[in-house]
Amino acid sequence: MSAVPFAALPEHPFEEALRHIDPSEPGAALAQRLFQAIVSVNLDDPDEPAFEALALDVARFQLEHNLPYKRFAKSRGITAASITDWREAPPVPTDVFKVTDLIACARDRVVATFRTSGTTGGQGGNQGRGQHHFRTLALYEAGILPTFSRYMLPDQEGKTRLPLLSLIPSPLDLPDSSLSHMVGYLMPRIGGPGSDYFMVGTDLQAERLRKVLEDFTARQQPVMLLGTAFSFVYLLDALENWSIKLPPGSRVMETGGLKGRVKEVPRVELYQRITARLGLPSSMIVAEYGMTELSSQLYDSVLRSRVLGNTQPRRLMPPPWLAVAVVNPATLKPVPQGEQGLVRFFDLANLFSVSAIVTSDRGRWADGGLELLGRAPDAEARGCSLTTEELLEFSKSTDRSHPARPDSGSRP
Amino acid sequence: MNPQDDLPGEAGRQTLETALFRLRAAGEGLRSISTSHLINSLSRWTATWSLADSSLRRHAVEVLAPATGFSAPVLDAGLRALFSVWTESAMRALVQLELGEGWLEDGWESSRRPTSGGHSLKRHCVPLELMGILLAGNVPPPTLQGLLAGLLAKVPVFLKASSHAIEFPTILIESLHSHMPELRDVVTVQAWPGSDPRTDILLQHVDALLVFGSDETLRQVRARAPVRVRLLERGHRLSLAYVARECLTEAQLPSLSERLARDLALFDQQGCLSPHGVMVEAGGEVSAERFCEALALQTMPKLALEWPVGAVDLELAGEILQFRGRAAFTEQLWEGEGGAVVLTEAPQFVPSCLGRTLLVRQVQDVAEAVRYLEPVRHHLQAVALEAGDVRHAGLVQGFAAAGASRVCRVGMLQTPPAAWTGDGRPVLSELVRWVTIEE
Repeated sequence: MSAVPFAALPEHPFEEALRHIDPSEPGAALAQRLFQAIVSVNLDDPDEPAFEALALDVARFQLEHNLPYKRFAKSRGITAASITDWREAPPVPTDVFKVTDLIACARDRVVATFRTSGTTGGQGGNQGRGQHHFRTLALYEAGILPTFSRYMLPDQEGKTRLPLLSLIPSPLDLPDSSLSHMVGYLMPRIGGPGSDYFMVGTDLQAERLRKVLEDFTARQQPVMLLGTAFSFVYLLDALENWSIKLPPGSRVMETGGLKGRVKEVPRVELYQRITARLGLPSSMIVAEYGMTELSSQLYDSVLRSRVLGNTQPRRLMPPPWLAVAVVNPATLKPVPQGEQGLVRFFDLANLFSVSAIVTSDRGRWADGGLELLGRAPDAEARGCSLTTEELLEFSKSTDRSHPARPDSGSRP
Repeated sequence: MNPQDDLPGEAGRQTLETALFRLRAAGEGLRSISTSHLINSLSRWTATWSLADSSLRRHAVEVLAPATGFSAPVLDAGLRALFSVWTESAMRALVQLELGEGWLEDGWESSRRPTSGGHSLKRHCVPLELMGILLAGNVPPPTLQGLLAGLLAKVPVFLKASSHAIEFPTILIESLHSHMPELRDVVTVQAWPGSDPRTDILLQHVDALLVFGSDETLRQVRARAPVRVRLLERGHRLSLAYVARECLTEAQLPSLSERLARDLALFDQQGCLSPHGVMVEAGGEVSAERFCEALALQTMPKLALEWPVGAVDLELAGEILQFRGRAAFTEQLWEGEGGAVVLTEAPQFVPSCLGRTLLVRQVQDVAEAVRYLEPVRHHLQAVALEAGDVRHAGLVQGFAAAGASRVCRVGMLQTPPAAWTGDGRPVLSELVRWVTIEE
């Protein structure tokens, strides 16, 4: 695929987006306050009390206007009137996005819907795909650049823009992918000349990317590669027996889980392969964590730590408008620092859906950031009862209408 | 018995091969033990486990509770129920059923049948020389059931345990050796990870392999097993309950829900005999909603005081959270201290997330139940049936056709008789070679 001209990219309304919300519409004033708080935040010294107050207002708004969530909370004895702290808002398991439309506005006011990558045989009305509906993309987009710049470009102030070479499909190819939307948002705004997409649907154009990388290397122009963990595995497999030493300052943004996909490679091993094949030091390989169900992203601290000269180990860092907690799965209350639990979010930018979300990702909070943990090592020690996963595998093995396909590259 | 956990490389291979040669060589001694003596001794051994104050069981519970996550009372109750069915008479009945009267009398002649030509034919059974058992998971019953099947057929047994669940097989074998020293050389246990090449060595040595595990495990073992090895496959399964409308009365509800809750709570729903769901017939005196509410908010919390819910790993906890979360938004959910009950209208059965989470589905009749169960037709283990005498036989036929290998009463799911053919297949008769002699 040739480069997508920037002018052809959909220019999502940024500052203008909120103007499309009638000021009398529920949530309009709150959206405005949130937008201002996000775009004017000092990331080195955020105004915590202001975000706390906003979070409570957001929780109350959703408990009043997101009707499925309102019923869910009410069944647990929680209402907009009863809560005094946003932490009391009951978190919604991410799977609920697969079976229910969680919207805090009228259905016909939804301007965009992002969907998780599909699985055959999934349950629920969305064919097993999680759906996140947006009344406005302004809050989502307002948070992209500050966080991305802080963790992906901490050493780039005043320097020439890095070409963004994306292994993530463009938003034209995958309009319902939040990850593609994010890359599509970034590319025209911060991408240097030569920025381009190298994944078209599920077709990775490895050979074209190889030539581009060799060309940039010949000119000693550093680049940024963006892709899912899975796409990097495919890239390195496709370019077997090829390696390069990318120019100093080059970096990788890696996102997306590997669990449960066609070909599993531990993250540490993947990073070692990237280092060996692309000539990048480990500190230039930065993980991004995002989910279709969230509007905000977390980034690996590794590059920023190197630039600042501190010794913080790799940790995922959230922006101030995304609260992260590691919780006990039974109580959903935070566990002590350093202990393992499930990861719970409160994303203020999810204003018109639901902010309090609990995932089934295992993690622990330590050294000032989130550490995501892989699959539990003792998972095989359960009993002899059949699981849904096994039944789905059995169904697939006896159903010829759903051939296996590689992951499309959209978010976990 | 010499449990070797993860001995690496050549040392592990040598240890395994030595053990397998010794087992095969010791088979002659096992075959020379009279069946009556064997059954008598084994039943006295199982009785020591099922005594009210069994020190063996107490020790096992102390070791297994932290290792498995099951609460001590659940383990205690589960182990007692498990051993209590293996009485002398139950073992004799099993042997007679599968190997014939002659086996009980230590004769070769298993059975004699007249043929149509006026002649008679005899069947003899010759024990195989060595069997292996590939265990999976942390639920105790398959270990005991497999071990006793081998011994009753007089076949030396090699138990391969999961690296994560070696404790119960080890304790079991130690107690057997202590009780019956004459069996010291005919039963052993080792553990290694599933991907370890020692599994291939085991497959080269055994005559039969009883395999417990997921479809994927069975597929892998099938691909690796030599043609001559008899594979006795026991896949992951699930069980269910069915309550006929005549039993859905206020008078019967307390007993019914308590028995069901016990079936559910034993081994925290992780066994293949644990119920994932209940089908309740429409038209009973008690509505489906009332049934769910009583179970989730009264019976299960009360039982959780007696049989506390065990610890679950974070991965399973996450699955439970997501499953119940979906149910909260799309179905009716009752969640209490002892678990959760979901009243579902799903057209087709979906397995529970476990963690004492029961799916209740209202059906008009058994025909609808069978349609509902179609997705698990190949994975159905047992159905606990609560029905009046008049309709009982018809319903049993329905569930037999739907794929069940066992139909029992509610409350009896976790105590299958010794003669139960798990997965619908006998074990003992597969551990011998049959010789037909025509006269």
